Amino acid sequence: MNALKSTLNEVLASVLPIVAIVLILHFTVTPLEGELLGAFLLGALLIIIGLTIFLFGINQGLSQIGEGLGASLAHSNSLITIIFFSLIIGFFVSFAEPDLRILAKQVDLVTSSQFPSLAMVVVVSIGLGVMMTLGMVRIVSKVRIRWVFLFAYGVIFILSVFSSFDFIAIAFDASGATTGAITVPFMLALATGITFYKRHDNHSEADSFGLVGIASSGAIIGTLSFGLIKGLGKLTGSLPTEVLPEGNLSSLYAPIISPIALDSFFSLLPIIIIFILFQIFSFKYPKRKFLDIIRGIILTYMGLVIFMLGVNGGFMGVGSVLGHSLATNGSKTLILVASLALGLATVLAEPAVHVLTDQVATITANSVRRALVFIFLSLAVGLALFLSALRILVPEIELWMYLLPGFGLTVILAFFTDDLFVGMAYDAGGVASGPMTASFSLAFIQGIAAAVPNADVVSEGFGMIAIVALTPILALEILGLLYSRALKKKAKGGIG
Amino acid sequence: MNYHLLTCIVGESQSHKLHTTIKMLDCVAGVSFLGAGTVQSGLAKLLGIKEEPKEIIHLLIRAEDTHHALLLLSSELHLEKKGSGIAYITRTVGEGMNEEEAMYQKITVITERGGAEEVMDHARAAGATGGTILHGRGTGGHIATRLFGFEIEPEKDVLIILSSDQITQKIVQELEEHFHFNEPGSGILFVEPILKVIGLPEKKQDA
Repeated sequence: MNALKSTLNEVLASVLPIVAIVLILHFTVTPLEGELLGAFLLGALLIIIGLTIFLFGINQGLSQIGEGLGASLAHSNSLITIIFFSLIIGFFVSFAEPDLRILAKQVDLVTSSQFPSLAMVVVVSIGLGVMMTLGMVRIVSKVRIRWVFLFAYGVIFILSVFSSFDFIAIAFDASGATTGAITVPFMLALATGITFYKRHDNHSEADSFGLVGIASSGAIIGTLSFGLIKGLGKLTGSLPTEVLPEGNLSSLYAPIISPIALDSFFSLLPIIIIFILFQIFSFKYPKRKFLDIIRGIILTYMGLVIFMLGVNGGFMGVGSVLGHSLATNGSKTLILVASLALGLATVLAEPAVHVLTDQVATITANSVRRALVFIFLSLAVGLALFLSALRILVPEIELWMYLLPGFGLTVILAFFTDDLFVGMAYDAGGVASGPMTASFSLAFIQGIAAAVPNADVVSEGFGMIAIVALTPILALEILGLLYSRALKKKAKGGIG
Repeated sequence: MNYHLLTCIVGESQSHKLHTTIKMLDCVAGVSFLGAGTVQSGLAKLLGIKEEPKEIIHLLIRAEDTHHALLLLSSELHLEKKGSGIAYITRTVGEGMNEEEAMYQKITVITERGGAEEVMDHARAAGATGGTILHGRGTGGHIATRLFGFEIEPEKDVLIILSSDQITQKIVQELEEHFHFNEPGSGILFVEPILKVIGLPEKKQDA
């Protein structure tokens, strides 16, 4: 029972802050009309229930499959096998990601179909598959992770020099979109599995992290390369402006139930197929364990559907309305403060964040405290939304002014930070830009942009996710520096 | 000087209290592991929950202090209540102690993170047939280094080797020569008496 209680407590502690902030805004500056408040509270309830079930499901299903797969690849002792399966797994897991398809449709629209949505999904998935393979090969080789990121972001930098700003933002957005609620826990487990059989030395625990970060850089590289080949410049098309939702409970929830049920199923499908194939040919788990994993997958699916219903039905509309009415009625200071506060709170409710911090605690035997990682991620995403809102209010700020020095700094800091934290930091970049960011925060920022004259809703939105992918990397690298310093100080204190 | 080993196993919710209590004890060294306790409940079974997180702590304490330590832990953590955790004391092999009844020993070495493999290499050279590495974090120090109010405790490797009497002495000697455990910061080694072992392969004795 304690396990259920402690997970529920954790989920409550991560969802209630957003509810509190929205309620404060509702009673002070931006009252939510009609049944919108009710829809929001129902959404919060669904998110709490969904996230709790989801986290149990991940533990029993996806994590087991990922670790088993990693271990059996490591056991194969053959580089060719690892490369072959990593490419296939990486490609299909990304291909099945619903967020990526939504993004691809938007890109199709804004580029007036120069960048067709299927091509986008394929290109991003190839990029992700290739880089994830590189990440897997790195784990079994002895190359330190900082070099991989120097290489990946070096390539991204070179490609960016020749790309348009709008397109760079889309590329970063693609990396956020591929690393969703299903792919991230799966890749984290895969890395843990393949690391487990290595000789137990200083690097083995650090190797459990970084795979998500490397894989998501592949999505960026894929998109940018494709854009260059096709010779895409400025965005020409435009997105249909989102209609602000009418405050009616059934009209908010009813139409999204079946698409969400279908999308969630497709995102799990490649993993289910891979699991069944490996069960037949490699794992050969006893029936009981096999059924346990199947139950884990079913729980994951149920949890994900309930969670996504809450996010899309209750939160997204409120995010958009909040952003819009804040920007219409509130002062600039208020907009910035509200963005900061929402950013601080939303990242806590990202499903993959819980999986990542869990893994951090387990692998370091709680030496790196979960709460510390949560605090730094929270600060990071708070800052990210603050910077995104600031960019809308101050048109002189270009996106590259954040991204170029920001990502440059992450690569430099990687050379001064413990490997464990470098991997963790880049993973966190993918983890933080999950479904909450992609719906609630995105709707909020686009809501602000829609109300501010001269602001471009499309490019502000794309830019926001790039910033959310950046700040967590910096934050966790800084945490790593502080942590190593604290340990050194302690060692000087003379503890055996 | 003789030491006892105080072991405490508690659930996640008691972990914080356990660590504040440890601060009040005068222990030589401590190491903490994460583990899983078994679960038996209907709803939990339905959700597929078969285990729940536990924390296991080993504390090396001077023999004369153990009784007091156990009482303090028991009263602070309310160990008499069902489900609040357990604590127990075992002996370690002290200098000049007669351990006639114990034919076997369990050697435990606590080192820096990543250090266990090297220790194992030396132990193997001295005759150890195998070992088990656990991953834990050091705890129980008097000086607390904090980061945003959270105590920072270093990761540790813990190596456990079971061996028979004569080989134990060789292993301990070899390890002490190489790693100088008496110097501060070099790690901790302690030996516990084991009454019976099944499954330990016999290694050919060198003459």
